[in-house]
Amino acid sequence: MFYVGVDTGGTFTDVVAFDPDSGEIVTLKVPSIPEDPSQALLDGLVQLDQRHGITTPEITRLIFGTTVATNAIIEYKGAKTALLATDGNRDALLIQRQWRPRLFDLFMQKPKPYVPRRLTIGVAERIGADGSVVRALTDEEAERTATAIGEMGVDSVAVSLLFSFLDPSHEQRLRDAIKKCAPNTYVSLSSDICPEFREYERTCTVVTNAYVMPKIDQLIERLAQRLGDAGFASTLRIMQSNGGLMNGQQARAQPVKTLLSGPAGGVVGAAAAARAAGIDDAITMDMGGTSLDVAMIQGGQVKLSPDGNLSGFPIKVPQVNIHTIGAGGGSIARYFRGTLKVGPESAGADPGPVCYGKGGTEPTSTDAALTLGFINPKYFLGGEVALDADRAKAAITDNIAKPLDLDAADAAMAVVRVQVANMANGIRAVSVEKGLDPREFALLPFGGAGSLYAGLVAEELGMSTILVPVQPSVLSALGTLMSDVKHTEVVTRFAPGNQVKGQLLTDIFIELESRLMETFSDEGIAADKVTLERSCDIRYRGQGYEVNVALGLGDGAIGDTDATNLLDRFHIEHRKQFGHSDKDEPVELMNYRVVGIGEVTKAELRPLNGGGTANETAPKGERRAYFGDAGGWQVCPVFERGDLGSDAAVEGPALIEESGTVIVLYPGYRATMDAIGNLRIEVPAS
Amino acid sequence: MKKVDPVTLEIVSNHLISIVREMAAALMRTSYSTIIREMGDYTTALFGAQAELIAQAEHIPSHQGTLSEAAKTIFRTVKLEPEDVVIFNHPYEGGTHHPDIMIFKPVFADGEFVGMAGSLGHHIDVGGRSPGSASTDALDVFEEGLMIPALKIVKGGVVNEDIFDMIRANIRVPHKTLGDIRAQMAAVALGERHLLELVAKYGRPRLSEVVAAVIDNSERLMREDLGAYEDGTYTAEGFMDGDGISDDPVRIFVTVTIDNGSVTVDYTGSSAQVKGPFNCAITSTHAATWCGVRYMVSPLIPQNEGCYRPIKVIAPEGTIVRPTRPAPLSGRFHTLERMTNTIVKAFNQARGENAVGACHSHLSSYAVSGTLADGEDDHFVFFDLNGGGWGGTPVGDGLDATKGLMSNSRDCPIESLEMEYPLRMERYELLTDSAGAGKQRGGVGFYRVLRYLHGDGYFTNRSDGQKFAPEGVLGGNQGTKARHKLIRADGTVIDMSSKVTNMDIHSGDLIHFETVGGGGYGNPAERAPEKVLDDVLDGLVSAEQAREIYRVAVDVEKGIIDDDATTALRAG
Repeated sequence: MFYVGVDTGGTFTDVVAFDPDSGEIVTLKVPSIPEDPSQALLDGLVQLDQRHGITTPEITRLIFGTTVATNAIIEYKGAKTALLATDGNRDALLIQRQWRPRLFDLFMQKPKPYVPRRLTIGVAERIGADGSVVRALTDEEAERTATAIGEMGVDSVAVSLLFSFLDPSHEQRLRDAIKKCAPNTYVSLSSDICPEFREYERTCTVVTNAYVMPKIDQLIERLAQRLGDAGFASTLRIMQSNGGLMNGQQARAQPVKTLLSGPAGGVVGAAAAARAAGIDDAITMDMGGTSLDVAMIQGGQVKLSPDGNLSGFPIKVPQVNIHTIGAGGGSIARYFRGTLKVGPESAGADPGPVCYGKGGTEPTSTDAALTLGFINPKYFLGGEVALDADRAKAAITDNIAKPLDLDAADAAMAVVRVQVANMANGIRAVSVEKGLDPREFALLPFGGAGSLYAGLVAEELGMSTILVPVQPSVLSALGTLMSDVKHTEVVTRFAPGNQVKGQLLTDIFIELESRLMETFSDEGIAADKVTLERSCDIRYRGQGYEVNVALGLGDGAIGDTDATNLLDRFHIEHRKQFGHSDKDEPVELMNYRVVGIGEVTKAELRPLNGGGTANETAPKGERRAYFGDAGGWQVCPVFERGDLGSDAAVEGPALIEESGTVIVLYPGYRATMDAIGNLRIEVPAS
Repeated sequence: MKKVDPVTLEIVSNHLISIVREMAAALMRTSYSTIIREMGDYTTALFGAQAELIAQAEHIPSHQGTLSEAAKTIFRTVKLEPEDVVIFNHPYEGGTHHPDIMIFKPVFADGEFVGMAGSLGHHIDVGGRSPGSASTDALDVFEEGLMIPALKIVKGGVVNEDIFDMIRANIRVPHKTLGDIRAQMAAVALGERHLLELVAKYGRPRLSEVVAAVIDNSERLMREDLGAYEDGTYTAEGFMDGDGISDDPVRIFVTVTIDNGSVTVDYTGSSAQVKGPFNCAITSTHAATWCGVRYMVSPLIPQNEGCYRPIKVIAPEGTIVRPTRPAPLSGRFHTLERMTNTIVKAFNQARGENAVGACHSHLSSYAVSGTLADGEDDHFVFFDLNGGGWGGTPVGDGLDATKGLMSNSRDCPIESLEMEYPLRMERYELLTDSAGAGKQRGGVGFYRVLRYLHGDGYFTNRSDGQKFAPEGVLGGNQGTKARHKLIRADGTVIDMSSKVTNMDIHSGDLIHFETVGGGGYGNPAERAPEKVLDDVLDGLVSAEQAREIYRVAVDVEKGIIDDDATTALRAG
């Protein structure tokens, strides 16, 4: 019996297998196959068998993190999609709330919608703000619309009518008409995907769903078939943006919920590592080739956001609150108009940094780290890519050192310092926006480049602890094995606070919960394994944002006192988040949410067996590395992380290598291994 | 002076920007009113030991440098001491208009004045004759609300509650306004803390060297970019429909002189100050000028004092750009849009192929008020803004349906406004054939039809663009003009001028807005036929306009270009 988690990255597909009997974890990487991600997953399973003797029929849980939907969006390679909107309101995608993402740029262009205007149809119908039918949808109009869709020859249709969250019948009738007229067309309804008010954001969400739906549908169908052929007999589950799992059927219907599949797995894995290390509050820093993803963990829980943004369009589904900064290993360093810039432009994986020797000519932060001696040119990505250190140094010398009048090492250190300052500013922005002080958090780096820079970032932000989690290079895949099944039901029902009674709330929640329990039943999860959390989005009248207020657990009836308590808690929560509240201000209830968590068996991090203790652990070698003002060139011991025992301690300066990444310990830093294999680094007070 | 290296320069420059953004985030997070939080109508800044601007957060273009003038006034006129906080809004003493209240905190390290943290918030109401302190027909500055000279709202760490009481007694929604003022006070306190951290990190003398270098660097970049334009004197004029009192057009005239990386913007020749509230205090005139020039250089130059050094403003006393008190000025925003656009127009002559079509310069800021339900004294005011199309550029078409050069707030969702107010937005779509045609066309304008559903109420609109359309450039056509109509429940159509205050409206009435399309770039007959085809298929350009103006024959049925007919059209 094994649990297997798979995460598809740009270059590699990571596979993690967990043995629930022994607690042992094995990992491997296979090359990603962008045109057929399901094949890479199958390749991974074959490798698991060949290298570790884990056969596919022995796998009882299989979880897949996928970037298929994300890539289709970023590359504009989704399906030919049409949009149906209420007559008179079909341009929300183009008007984009009249807002623009940048100031002072006359040449800027706004993001191009996934549906062109010619494939948008205005439908004669209108639901009013109270849910009443202002203009009925006639059968003739539904048929006319469906016929037009058939003639357009689209693969997928998004339907987003005004106030469909109050009365979804018009959207449903349009779907039925299309299914009759063009049965092979995929249809996404906004009242299914995102039954919340704010038409622009809802329309973007359902359009995104429709745009990626055919691809995800075909991927999962193919995958299920191939897994069946290989003898897999359990349920395939997919990682969602919200850090929870869903089955393939759900993913096929609501693919927009997979957009952050990979990153969410990483943050869930990081949170589990932090909890196991006794750390409740952490800022995670997932740094790859092109960008840095920052997320917050508070009270041991991953912070979620009710919405996000991809390629310039809002996506209104709950997701792990990840903030992306243009700082990665491939960030390009340039002397430009009198100052040294690092990023946001990136050399990516192709051509990649100069040291890859694939044609990159501008030095990147990876070239700087190599020049400083931090990276072992023969052990990058576990030795799978050989790096050319001389080429990197030459690029740093020509592009940075000469104009700055520095030697190559100081120029490389300058690149690192600018990069670190940018990262610190990004993390400050994320935490301060929420009113939080980063000094009260631990820093949790992962991804290929995170632990290279974590030391200096922590110092810059005054953070005293760094936790480099176990398996930092496959944390996203590992995280999928630590997640429960999670589904949310939400609906908008506007109600002034003084009209809110227990019965009103009860009726709404009972309806939401019955829908939710049906979903869990389809997932094959027993009702007694499901925990429900009710909450409401509430605001003061006139505000354009809501505060989410918990109603507490349970699925029983809600009394009038509970309703009053809910409003009281709103004032308290508003004060907590925004610094003030006012009991005399009129209050409005907007959205009602139920989050259901269906418990499944998970992987857990257990104490390591074996490994040497501190005194027994010998460095595997040594290397010269440059620490700038913090000690200049030093001959550092180099350790293999896997050799470090459960109570090992390493004093900086030192380098700790593992497949896929290197941990840089600056002079005065001290790392200790904890029982489960996390490295805890103490940052000296500056 | 010790040279500041490019690495330190980059790091400190980015850090300063990060601080003012943090201050802005704190202000937004703790503010009470939607105008600050959702319209983003606020800004924050840090100043050095001579009250020079060292960093400003970029949210709303019109706030360019507005805090800067006020900071200098306060530095010059107030005896600043540790733990003071100063409040200020006086439009004739360095402020902009009444609702823009500024808060400053002087920062002292070891007893030495090292700078100031400042914040500006547009407040929902500061008293005066109309709700929101906004009308189109105020006759003097005293009608427009409460004016606050530089006063210590906190003195030596002690809050002067008397000032709060005085303000409270003079404004309509005191708890929101005073709450926002406290949020601004929290923001400047955060700015003070971070500025002191920088002082501790670098030491006072070194920090002032680095800060001076950061400012010099912005100045150098500005001069480099401005130096790339050919030296010369360029003039341009632009007009507004009227001043809210009379329908006589109001003229903005600029003479832009570019001289070796410096720019002088001379407003001599602009209209005399007007009767209605569309005058600009000199601080606002500076803001519009800086903003206009800012669009002419790299958007990446860090915002500080150095950006303003190469720019000189000449604004004759007694004109619309430098009125004498007590001329009213609460509607200055529309004048600012016109000024900025006129500066861009003057620069166009020096931009050659990089000229741009005119942006709509029309911003409809409108308010609908009434009662929520029968028999209840429950009033509402709904407020929103309409943008329009931007000008075509050498790299692409102008932005469709976007706020103006000087603003950038989001519209109110239809579903939000209809759930809260007895209104129904019956149409909100792009307007076919509104864009100025061109090789790169202007942005498309839009129309909105709003139905008033219940009882009786009022409609106020501060807008422009009914008489003067955005011009095209390098052979591009002009965009369309704005139209505002009131269609009564019985079908009577009333054409409204672009500025109306408190029009009576009743149940069943329709308010109809047609906004402005942007000016085109280049000869429309040179537009790629495939792009014309796209626009026709997308319904943004009619087949007639395609044929007559773009000289492209589109077979709409088949969805293709009629190549032979197009060749013939373009040959003729």
